[in-house]
Amino acid sequence: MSIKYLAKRLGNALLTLIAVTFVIFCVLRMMPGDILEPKAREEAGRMGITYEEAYDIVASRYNYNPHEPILQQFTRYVKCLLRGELGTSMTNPKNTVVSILSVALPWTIFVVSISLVLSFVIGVQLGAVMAIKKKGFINNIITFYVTIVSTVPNYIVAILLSIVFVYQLGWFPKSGVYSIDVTPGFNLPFLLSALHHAVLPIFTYVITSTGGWILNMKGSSIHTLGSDYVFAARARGLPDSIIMRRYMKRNAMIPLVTTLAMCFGGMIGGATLIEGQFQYLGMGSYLAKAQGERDYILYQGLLLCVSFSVIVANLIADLLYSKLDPRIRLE
Amino acid sequence: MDEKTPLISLQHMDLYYETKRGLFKPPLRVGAALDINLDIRKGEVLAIVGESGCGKTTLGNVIIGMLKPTSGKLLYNGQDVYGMGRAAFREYRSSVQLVQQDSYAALNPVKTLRHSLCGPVLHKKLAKNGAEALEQVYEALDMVGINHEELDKYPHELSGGQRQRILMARAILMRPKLIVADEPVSMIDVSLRISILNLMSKLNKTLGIAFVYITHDFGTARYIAREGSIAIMYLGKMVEYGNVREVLEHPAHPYLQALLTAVPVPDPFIAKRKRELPLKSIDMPSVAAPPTGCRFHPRCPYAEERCSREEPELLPCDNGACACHLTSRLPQWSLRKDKLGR
Repeated sequence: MSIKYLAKRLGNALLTLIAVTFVIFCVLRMMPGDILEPKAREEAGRMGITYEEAYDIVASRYNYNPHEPILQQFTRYVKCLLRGELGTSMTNPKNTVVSILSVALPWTIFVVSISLVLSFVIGVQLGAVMAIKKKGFINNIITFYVTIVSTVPNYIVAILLSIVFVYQLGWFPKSGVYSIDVTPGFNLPFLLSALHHAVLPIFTYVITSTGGWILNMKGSSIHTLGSDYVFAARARGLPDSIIMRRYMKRNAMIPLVTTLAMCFGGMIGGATLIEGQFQYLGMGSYLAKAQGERDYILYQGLLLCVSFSVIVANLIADLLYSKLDPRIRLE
Repeated sequence: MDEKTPLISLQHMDLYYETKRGLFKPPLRVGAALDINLDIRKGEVLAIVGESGCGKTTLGNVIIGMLKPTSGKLLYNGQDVYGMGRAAFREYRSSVQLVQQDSYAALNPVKTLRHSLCGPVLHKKLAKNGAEALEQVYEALDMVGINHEELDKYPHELSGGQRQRILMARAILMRPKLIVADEPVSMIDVSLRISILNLMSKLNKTLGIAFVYITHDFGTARYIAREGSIAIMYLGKMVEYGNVREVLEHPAHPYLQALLTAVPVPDPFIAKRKRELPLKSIDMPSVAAPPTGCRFHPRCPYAEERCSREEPELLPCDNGACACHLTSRLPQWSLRKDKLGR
């Protein structure tokens, strides 16, 4: 891999990031309503003053000046970004976006990475088995499962799981990312508590996304199994176990690994509805909150972080692909 | 085992493909190769010729043991392949090697050639260690005419001709007694074909490896099997068998005569005087629903009433064997209408 290629890819990624920053800023400002509107309406009704008067009163309480020209807002935002800051939340000036990110992001990454790895590993194994035993009993079961899971939206699964395991059986906590009686840090009670809180979100992700991996792997494996070099290996007398491990899985996984990297980037945004159902305070729940309140600064900060992870994941997938498949030459 | 035992022998071999057709219908049985009797002697070159879908690749896959015959026997050195012990079967597997048509698809795209060539040698324990395996690989590369430096390349970095040579090298590394080459030159540039064919001849002569050359091209079949034999297949059946030169010069079966007539001749003088054999129909009948009697009778210009009833057997004739009721009564065949010449 040449330095030139790497520089080109990095430059591309940077350009994308700049474009995304601009688009996020514009689109958010074009959304109907702002953070002050509902509060002003409420205040006007309560104090018996006009909406405009209430609007000005409310504006003074929030960290947002609605009369500031949009271009000035943008330059202020960009200057802020260049200093490496993402601004402060509109609702609470003490909460910087970075501090919110530092609370939410680790939990989302924690849940997303575990569930992605789990569903990928399970999916690859089952997909490979399906490809080999084309007419077996196990094939019918998995196909049935995949059909069901792909038609049921993931938040329905989340609701079902929480009804059964949280409200009926009471095995798992209703909300939060760890219990209040443990001290955060690298100690066993804290880790166990964190895992305990993460089990159901992880389970939901795994149940709903494994199906896709299975079908991907199955298709890819059947394609590999049909190729001449696998036939030649069989004719040479290689046992099926070696063919499955060294030939089929290795080659069939190549297209899946890039999808994995991209999925990771996409899932950083969190599944709002899954996190919401379990009241798990990750990126998804903060995104939902920011969107509901029209907290532009927080919202664009979170979205920028999500876009950044997607871009980085894409870059990694791109570079990884040529490592896995020598036919793809980087130029 | 004496010298006369054929290396590979097929005895009344039938191979049916079965396709499910739903829950209650009986499966569809397609006879891809029927009642094949064939001997391949040590060091012999046999060409199997036929049009697409006639079962020649199926026959090749039966010979290398990748398809188990539905009935009949496959003998290796006089022993039944599907009744022998594990060690003997493993020896058969090594001794009968395959060279495929698509040289690009036949090599693992994510492994270097070093891996693709050394791996099998080590796996089959033909070499004690990596260094010894590498030595054997170098030797094989010298034999097929590939530079040692190419070893660290990936398959896509080589040309088609080079890849086909690599496939030959991979096959001879197993120290085979027979190589089944399934259309090995049909995807190679015409100008390079001759070198691959010469390579096969060289391997045949110097190493004594027998070759089964599967093709639809009479030109290359005639070239490679010069002193060997040829088998013509039609709709899963062998219709003619014999010495290459004799069979191609005096074709006995009407199907082979028609095929030879269809070969374009790059000489306008001959081409103008070329004999036409008026086939009744151009389309090949479906293998799934073959005609009754002789499988060629709906297209055969000489067909008689008997041909649609009785299926002819492959019987010895003047130059080999031919499956036709009318062998002795057919008019003498020659490529040209007149025998005037130039």
